[in-house]
Amino acid sequence: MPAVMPKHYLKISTEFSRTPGPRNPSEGEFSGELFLDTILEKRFQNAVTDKQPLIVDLDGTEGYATSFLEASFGGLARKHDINLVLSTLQFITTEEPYLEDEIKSYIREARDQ
Amino acid sequence: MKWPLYAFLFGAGVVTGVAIFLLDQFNWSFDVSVIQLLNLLVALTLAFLFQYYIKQKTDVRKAEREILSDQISMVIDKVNAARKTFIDCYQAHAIGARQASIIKMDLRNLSNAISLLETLSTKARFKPFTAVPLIKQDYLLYKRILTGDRFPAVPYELEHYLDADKCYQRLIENLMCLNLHVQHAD
Repeated sequence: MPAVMPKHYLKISTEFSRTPGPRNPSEGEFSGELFLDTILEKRFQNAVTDKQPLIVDLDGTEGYATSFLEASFGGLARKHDINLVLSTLQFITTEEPYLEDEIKSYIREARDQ
Repeated sequence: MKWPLYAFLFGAGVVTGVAIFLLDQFNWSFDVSVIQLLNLLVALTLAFLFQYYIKQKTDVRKAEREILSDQISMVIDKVNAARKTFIDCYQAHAIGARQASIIKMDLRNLSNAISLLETLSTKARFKPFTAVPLIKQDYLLYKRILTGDRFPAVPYELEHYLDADKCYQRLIENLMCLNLHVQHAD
């Protein structure tokens, strides 16, 4: 957790699940689409309205499947402007540093899908 | 650079002192002046310091080499662990919740091991580590093959197996290349 709590801060392990699941709800619990629809999009819109970054803390879970990350962050980029998504989201990922690059690649590639 | 240097300087000082004392005491006359003797002592000290510096440098490189090599072995172990879980799931034609969790854990461990390797390689003196970005790229592709698509709802198909195997071979190849580079770096 950051020393000074930012206004828009989302910790997936405590606010959604410690065990993020597959792509969509039909495939299993805690899916990426569920995360996008119930939490991520609302928090993203609040941050955009306040013109503040949304800090997404990815630490504390048991790991993320590609399908979860693509469905949630790639899904967000399919609903909103990709540059806005890239400029608004900031990530904390000390446990698995490559997640940030990975997520950003799903956001950039979202326009192709 | 502590006691060996002090011991050497002390020893050299004692030898010189004894030599000067004997020359003075018994009036032995050699064609060697005190100045020449001191010159010799300075030359010996410089030679000692030079070889000591070279040895220190070699020791540091050897230690770096060992640390990097150990970390590469660690990454290879993680790659093999992830492959084993993947093959078990492929052969079972199903990915249960527990297996899905193990696959994610394996990938996370692998990611952390590669991340540490990257950090170590940026701090090491051997440059350039062109294999590290390739390893990172292969890891991301490997993760995509293992946990992308409709993971874990749909079992792995032959196509997944073949793609994952190609990626695995490349990962191992790049890790071996990196190990060779580390072992043979000057």
